[in-house]
Amino acid sequence: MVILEVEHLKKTYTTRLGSNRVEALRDVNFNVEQGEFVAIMGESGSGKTTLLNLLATLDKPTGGQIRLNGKNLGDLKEKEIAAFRRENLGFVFQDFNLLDTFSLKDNIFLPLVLERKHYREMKQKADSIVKKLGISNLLEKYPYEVSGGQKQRAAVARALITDPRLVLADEPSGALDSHAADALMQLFEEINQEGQTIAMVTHSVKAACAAKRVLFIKDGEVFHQLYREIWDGMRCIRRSRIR
Amino acid sequence: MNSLLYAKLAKTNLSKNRQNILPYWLSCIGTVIMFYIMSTLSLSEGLKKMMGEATIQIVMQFGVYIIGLFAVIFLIYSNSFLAKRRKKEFGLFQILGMEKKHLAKILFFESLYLWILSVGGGILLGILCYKLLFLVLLKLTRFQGTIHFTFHWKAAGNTVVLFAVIFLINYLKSLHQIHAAQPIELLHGEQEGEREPKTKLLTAWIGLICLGLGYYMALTCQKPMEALGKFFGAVLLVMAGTYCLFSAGSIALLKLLKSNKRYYYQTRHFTSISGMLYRMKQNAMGLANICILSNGVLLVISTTSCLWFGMQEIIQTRFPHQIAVEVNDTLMSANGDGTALTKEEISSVREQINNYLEEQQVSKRFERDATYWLAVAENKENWVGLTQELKGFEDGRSMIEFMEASEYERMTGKSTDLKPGQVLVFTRKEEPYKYDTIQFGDTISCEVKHTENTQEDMVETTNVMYDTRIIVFADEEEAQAAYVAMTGRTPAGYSWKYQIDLIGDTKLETRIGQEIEKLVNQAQCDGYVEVRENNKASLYQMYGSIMFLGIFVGTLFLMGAVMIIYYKQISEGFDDRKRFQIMQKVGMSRQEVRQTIRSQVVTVFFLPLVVAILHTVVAFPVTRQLMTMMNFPDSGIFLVATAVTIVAFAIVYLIVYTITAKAYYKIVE
Repeated sequence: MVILEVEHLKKTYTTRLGSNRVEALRDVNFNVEQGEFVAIMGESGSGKTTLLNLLATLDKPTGGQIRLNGKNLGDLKEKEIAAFRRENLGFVFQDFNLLDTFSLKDNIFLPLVLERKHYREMKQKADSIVKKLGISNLLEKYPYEVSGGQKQRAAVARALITDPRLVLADEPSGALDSHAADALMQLFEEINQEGQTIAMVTHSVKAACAAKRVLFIKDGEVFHQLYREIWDGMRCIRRSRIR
Repeated sequence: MNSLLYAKLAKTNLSKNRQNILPYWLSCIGTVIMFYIMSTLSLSEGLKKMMGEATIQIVMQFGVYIIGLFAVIFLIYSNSFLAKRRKKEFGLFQILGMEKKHLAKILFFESLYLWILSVGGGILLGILCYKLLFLVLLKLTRFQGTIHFTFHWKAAGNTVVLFAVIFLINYLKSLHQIHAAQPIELLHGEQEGEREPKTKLLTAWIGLICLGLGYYMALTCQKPMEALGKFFGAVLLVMAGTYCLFSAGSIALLKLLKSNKRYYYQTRHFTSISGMLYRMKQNAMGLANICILSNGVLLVISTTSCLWFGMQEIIQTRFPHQIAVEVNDTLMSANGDGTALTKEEISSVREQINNYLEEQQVSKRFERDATYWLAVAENKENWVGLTQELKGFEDGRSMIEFMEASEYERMTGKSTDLKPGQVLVFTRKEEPYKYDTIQFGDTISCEVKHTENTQEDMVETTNVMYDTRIIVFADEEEAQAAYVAMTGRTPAGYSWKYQIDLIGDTKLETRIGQEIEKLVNQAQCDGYVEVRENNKASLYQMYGSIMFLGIFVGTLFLMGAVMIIYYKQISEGFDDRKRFQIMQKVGMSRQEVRQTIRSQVVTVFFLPLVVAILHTVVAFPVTRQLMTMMNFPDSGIFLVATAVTIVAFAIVYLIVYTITAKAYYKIVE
């Protein structure tokens, strides 16, 4: 089942005086299936962050359509957007975006508190996720007291706690050391195997390895895609070369 | 590197860092202006001349201390914001190869420049502000003869020294910060969150005790003389209590709310409680400052405006009749010098005055006079007497007037029917005499005959500060015997009170008053003549000046409060922006963000206002007693004045809130 459809997506930025027009996305088309793990790769300036912002409803496209679960994001009213985002999307950011004012536990609870859930329900949901992510003993700590990898795990927990249809990740391993990055990608794979759909933007080949499919963006267009099987093959070849 | 280079580097640093330094610099200047104006006022010659009394000097000196204290706390507080934001810069300098001692030198020059700019600019602007404010208020109030501006070296000197100390403290604090931290910590210092503050139970208790004591002192105060002594003590205690409670109590309260999971995990409370708790350490000082300054505004404006608007009342109390003569012979000649007046001398003066009035064909609307012996004595329940040498008026002392029944009957036209050994006792309306007997010294005791009349039906007492009792005896012998029993000596001579109202205009009043004064002096009576009309002008001027001063000082305090509020909103706005951006990404709508901001800002804003109003209400009994000292016995008007001031201040506060909240929204969104 197709969960996300992107058709002829276009985004043009104009500078404030309107003299300079930059085409960030020219014509992007792709679909994401339910339960898929898609990585979107590209060099910096290729438009991948713009794409993610559009998927996240943080920005509005200049042209084209994005449909999540059949619902056209362009039809959402300003008031509905926040609720839609909360109910359908989970976010993992490069710089974690945890709030320093909250303990990890409260950071994870935040989306549910916004949904006005009962404390008991929140706790129940969080318990299982937190156990899976291995941060049960860190819950009372504050973001500045834990390592980058641990912060990112808390951020993942926050993304998952609402059972989102789609998790959007923006360079999730970008600020982590290689060990933590590997662990995080493994985590993503595990989550994906349990049926969670994930779309991840990255420019790290290593991170993209974890995905089932990789889309390559260049100059605002998807110019190539690779499936895991082929990808794995390439990885094998490369490994043998290194040896 | 030579020191010239450091000086240059410091200069470029300051100008490159404009965005961060400017608000700090402005608040430095604002504080300098406030302190300078206040200390100039306290030294003002005009003020001394106007009041001539030590009281106003003490009050003004107290004001200087309060503003000085405020300056220290506020500037250290705002510097901590600045230092936090500049951590990264210092970290970078160190990574680029600068040693800590080099940084210390640069910082030194920076502090030096800022100090010179602040103090210099502040004093200059202070002079301008003073003149401007002065002119505006003069125009608005049309008060004549108020305080004029003079430049005082001492005020400027005090300002320079105080701010040198503050800047030194801030400099040392920054040095400590740099020395204690590794460059990499400094580099990330900006992102590092403030640790959740610990609950300081001891401080909270100290605050509670201070506040309780202060409140107790204020609420139990009942005598004007007592009030003056207690007032400053109570103010200091309440101030200390407020600071302690805001810093420790608020944290304890927020933690309590946070531990209640059902309350805490609600959309509205969740973000605002954690947000407030997060920076309560810095917040508390700012809030306490706002609270204290607001309180100052409320007290100063309510008392002074009350004096001004209750002027008629004051004049009526102080001068119930147009012309009043009072000859307190006994008191003056207590040591044997001065003339002792006889009844005959008194009636001859009265006759002369009456003759003169007839001559001038002036008729009287009201006339009343009384002749009596006067003494000061202690009173305890139904006992009056002396246990020790008199040294002015203290608590439990009264002026006692010994009057004969015939004099009373002449004066009031009512018969007394006093039997030997019986007396009438007249006290003030508020505290009627409750006992059936009265004991003079150790020997004489009299039966008290109760009447419906009070002191106010006889010759009105114009002095409201001291307790006065009039005792009427059956005849002269009895009065004298009681006098001797009470004071241990025979009365030297009679005292005389004489009050008249004339039919005619104020010019007549002044002219006749002068003539009566001449007659009284010719008779070599040791007393004084008060003409209401003459005193009116000087009273108006005096209370006008007080009101003027009140508005001036009130405006100064208000300026301080607004400054902190604004500074707080702006600096916190920058901190909060990122938080709210993240919350929006996680799924908070703009509307919810707005709601959260509002509930947070409202709490932070209105807490000081509520506390300030509470303080003012509790201070009411003490301030009322102080007002009594200024010849202002009517607490009704004072109540209204206080209420009006509170409402007016709340409105001004609301306006300031709206404006700064807008600035805050702008930054955050």
